[in-house]
Amino acid sequence: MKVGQLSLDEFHALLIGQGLRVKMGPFNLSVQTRLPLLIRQLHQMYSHYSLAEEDEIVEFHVRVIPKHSIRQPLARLIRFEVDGRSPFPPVPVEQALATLEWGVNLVIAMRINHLLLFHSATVERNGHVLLLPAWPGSGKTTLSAMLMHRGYRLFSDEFGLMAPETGDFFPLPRLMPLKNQSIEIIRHYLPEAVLGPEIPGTLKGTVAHIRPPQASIERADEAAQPRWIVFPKWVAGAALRLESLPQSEAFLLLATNAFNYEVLGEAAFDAVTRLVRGCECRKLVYSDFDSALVALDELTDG
Amino acid sequence: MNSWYSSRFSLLRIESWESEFTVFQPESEKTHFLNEMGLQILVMLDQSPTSLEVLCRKLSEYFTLQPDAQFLRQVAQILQRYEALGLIERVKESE
Amino acid sequence: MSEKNIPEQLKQDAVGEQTTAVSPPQPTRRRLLKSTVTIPVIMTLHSGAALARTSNLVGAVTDLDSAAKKMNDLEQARIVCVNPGDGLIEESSSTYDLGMNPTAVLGEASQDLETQAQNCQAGGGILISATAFTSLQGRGFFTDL
Repeated sequence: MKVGQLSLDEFHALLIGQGLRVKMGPFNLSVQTRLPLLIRQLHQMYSHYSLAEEDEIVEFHVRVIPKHSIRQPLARLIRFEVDGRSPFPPVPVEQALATLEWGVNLVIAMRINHLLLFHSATVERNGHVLLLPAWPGSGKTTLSAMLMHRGYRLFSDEFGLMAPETGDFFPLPRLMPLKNQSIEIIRHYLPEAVLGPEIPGTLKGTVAHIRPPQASIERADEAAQPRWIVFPKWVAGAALRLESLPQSEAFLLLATNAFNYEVLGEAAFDAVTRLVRGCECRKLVYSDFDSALVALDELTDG
Repeated sequence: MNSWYSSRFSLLRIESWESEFTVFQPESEKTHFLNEMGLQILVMLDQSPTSLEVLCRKLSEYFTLQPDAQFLRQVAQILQRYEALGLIERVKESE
Repeated sequence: MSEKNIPEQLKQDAVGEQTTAVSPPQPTRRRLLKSTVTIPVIMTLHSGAALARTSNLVGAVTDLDSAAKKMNDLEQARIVCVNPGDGLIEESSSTYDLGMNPTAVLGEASQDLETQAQNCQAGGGILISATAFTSLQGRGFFTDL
């Protein structure tokens, strides 16, 4: 059953009661909140996600709850909690959706160690995974949004989830936080994209979430093997360059890009070695999305 | 005079990337990235305990170099680094 | 591999010491790998590099003079006791990864600074320098203190 098949009342009852148990790629997430604003936003933004079966284990239990401040008695603050612990300081209630989404990403990054976690946008085309590893602020989310609306299947704008034993990558299509200028860029390029509310004043500026396409969410249990690794870099005014990258350099970049390379030890060494040896490795410098998309299309056509 | 020996060389996982190498050290669970000379030092020290001077001579022959005082210093530095990482150990000549 | 392409956190003196994720790049000391075949090179990958980019690394201090404090309205100093978050980035270092959203509490103004510091550390907290505190505040953290 999909979230969108629940009436707002049913949805509300789950969130304020036992929790909304929802599938997020290979994980299940339970969300509880009583915040009317957040409930309305989630009803729209989570509509394509499936509910977890009753007998399934939920990996993450999160809550977004009001926080009363003695210092700021009039401020309407909220707090994100995971398993009863609060990793973030309170934020204004208007930032609840952004805090929930960041909180879930943080928990995944910190707790998941049975998979190798790359800090990477990840998409699939022609049956194979294209990995786009990059640091924060490199435009991963914007590029992912462009690609997923140009026929690529979104795995994630934030994580490359790799099974070290098999080399399979798992989709984790979650809401994608566009920041600042990227919001207008996406509105301009992709008028069909479904965006959540603009949330000003966060630590990363104004944020608006883009909802992954229904097809990407519905195929979130279909893993795929990697074939291309492209390290993207947006440089204002730069001419497009898509150049081959030595495998040794790709190894270094990937190993240091992974969240949990050292935690996994030798399994990670083997996994990154196999990944690099089995993929075409490139670096991409671009300033214009259209030409970048053409170059990536050509790369992934074969 | 000290000699060095890479007694644990056989335990290392080594992957070759043309003339560069990634090395996984199971004991420390660390990954190292070595160039050709960096690896060749480990290979030479695996064969027998070797002093700094002999090692530099062997490296010079292998890489066709003219060794100078700076080269000796650089190799000495990397031996210290390898020792600190547990990749090689020092052997007293009297042993 | 060209010099400019070596990951920032791996750049180092060719025969020098292992770098860490928190070391700033030192362009004058960078060396190439392939082009330095005449000198041996080893670089050691550092743990948690990806997370460090999105986290806040800070060194713990022990002396009360340099530790961050806040004065209350009565001009009493309160020590800033920081939650060590994800803990030490390496067992041998004193650098902590405070995680993506560092949190801290203030000591009890009625206690002297030494007692406040002891209580902080007894509770698993760490002291950080005034400079680090200011820097983190500038990035929007600890604003509720």
